[in-house]
Amino acid sequence: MKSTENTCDSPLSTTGLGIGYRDGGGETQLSGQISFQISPGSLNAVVGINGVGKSTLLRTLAGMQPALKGRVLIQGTPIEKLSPVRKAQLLSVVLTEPLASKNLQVSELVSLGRHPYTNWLGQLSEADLQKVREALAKMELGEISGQPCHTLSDGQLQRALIARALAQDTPLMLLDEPTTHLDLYHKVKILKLLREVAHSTRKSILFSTHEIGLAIQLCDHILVLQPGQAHFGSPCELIEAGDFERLFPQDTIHFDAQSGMFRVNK
Amino acid sequence: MMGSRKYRFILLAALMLVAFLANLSLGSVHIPLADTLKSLTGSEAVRESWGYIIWNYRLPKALTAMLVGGGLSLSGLLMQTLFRNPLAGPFVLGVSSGASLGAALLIMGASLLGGIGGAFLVTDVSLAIASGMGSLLVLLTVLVVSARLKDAMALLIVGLMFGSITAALVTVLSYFSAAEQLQQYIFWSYGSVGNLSWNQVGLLGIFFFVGTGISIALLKALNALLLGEKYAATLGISLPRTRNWTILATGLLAGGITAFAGPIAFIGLAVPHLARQLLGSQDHRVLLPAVLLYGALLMLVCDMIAQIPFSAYVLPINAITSLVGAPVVIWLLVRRKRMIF
Repeated sequence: MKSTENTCDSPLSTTGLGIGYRDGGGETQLSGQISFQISPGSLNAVVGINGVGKSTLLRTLAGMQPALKGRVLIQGTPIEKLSPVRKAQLLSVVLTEPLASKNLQVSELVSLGRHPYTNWLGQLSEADLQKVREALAKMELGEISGQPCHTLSDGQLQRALIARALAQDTPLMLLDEPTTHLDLYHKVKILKLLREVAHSTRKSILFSTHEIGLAIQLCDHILVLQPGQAHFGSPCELIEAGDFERLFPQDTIHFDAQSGMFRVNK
Repeated sequence: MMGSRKYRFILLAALMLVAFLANLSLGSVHIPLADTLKSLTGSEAVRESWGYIIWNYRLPKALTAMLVGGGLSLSGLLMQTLFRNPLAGPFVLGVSSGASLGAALLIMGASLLGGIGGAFLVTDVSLAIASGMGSLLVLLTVLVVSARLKDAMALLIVGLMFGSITAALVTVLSYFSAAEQLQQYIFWSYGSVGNLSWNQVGLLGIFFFVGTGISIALLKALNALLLGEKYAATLGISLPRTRNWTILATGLLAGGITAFAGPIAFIGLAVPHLARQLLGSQDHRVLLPAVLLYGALLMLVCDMIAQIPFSAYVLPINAITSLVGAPVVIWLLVRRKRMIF
């Protein structure tokens, strides 16, 4: 953990963050204390076993649900202190839930990403349109920009959703499992596009995933969530520290540190 | 695409103007179009009675039809977006059943409680007030309950339940009512765009313009809601505020209209779909003017059918809108396999 860096420069950092649910009088905390800081222009993954709280963590980081303990800082400011519009200018999200209107055209969908910058009627300026075109081009959607979303394949839809977040033009993008339902080719394609975006536009990207092998190959840093603890570091650091070995129960698979892959126990 | 959209708007506006003039010209007394135009522009028609009919009967009726059609369609659009449900309409929040309860209480309750005196209370004005109060009561209850609900879908179900409760109360009231009161209530439930004085049309206009004004202020938030509530929130849209103002605008539009014209079915449900189909857009900045024009057009046409041209018969407008609206919804479903919202 690089706590020496100034948190004001970081698009996202947490200190002693506890995530989970409050209902009635009780609290259900899902994780141990999570402290990490992501650097500008980096691609970061969150990995962990089902139910460890990856989605809950992302929702907490996006300010969509309150933290039980600790703090989430967006460029040094506690997230709950940001106004809704300011927050929308600093972080964008891609969620797993389906769009309410499947009849939206791809270009209409991407244009909605400009909302935090447009006037009370939502009119797009020439600069807004330029951002929309750039986002469409980056996600290779130029040819299908006039199609309604319900006609898209899963991979195209995911790219359209990412393009919408890109058009929002925020220093931080949070994505919840952007590669589910995709085949290996399209998983890699999405992740490579995200890596390219992070490195070329200096946006920081954090996504949750089950594709640990791909994350090890493509990400700058990975947050490994385990019940009661969390480790953040570069893939190499985490492999050396043996964090991936402890990720799953050892009865069916084990981590092969040499190849950076999980192997089935035979 | 943008060009053809402009022409379709012009077509819609032109059709509405034609329907407006035809509506004025047709009826139990046929007034030639030339004379209709003459009396509208202030000059004398061939017969003095024609000018009188147009200014005191047909013009308020045509304007009421336009306000009713446009207003119900707009509130239907608001509800479909808020509830992400293509089958939502202006009455899903129980507005119409609240109005029914108000009207039923006045017509049937007044005679039960007040004896002879009660019968004199039932006038067009008191009916409008009673049904307006009924809508308001149900709407306020839904608003209070909605503050405790996180999900718009739960709110939809609460609205439907309130509808069932008020419908049950109306049934109980009618069970204990005399045939005369029952008949009067049934006539109210037929709906009507006629019989409004200029003052009442003005009052209806105020409801319409305030409701439409709030909707215009909501356009940006409504567009964000096309993504879903969670996405809208991450774009900086305040969900509770958007929800409350949308409910208020719907209440003003649907509640005000039901108070003056009685319950009118299907227009609010069908027109937003027709407008989306015609203009190929989900953008509320395009759809808002489109549903106002389309709704006004459709209501003028329904009113003309209800009048049965050249005859003295007037059919219940509520039945006509259902006869026109329900097949439209079925046609949309069949033609597009499923109603994609």
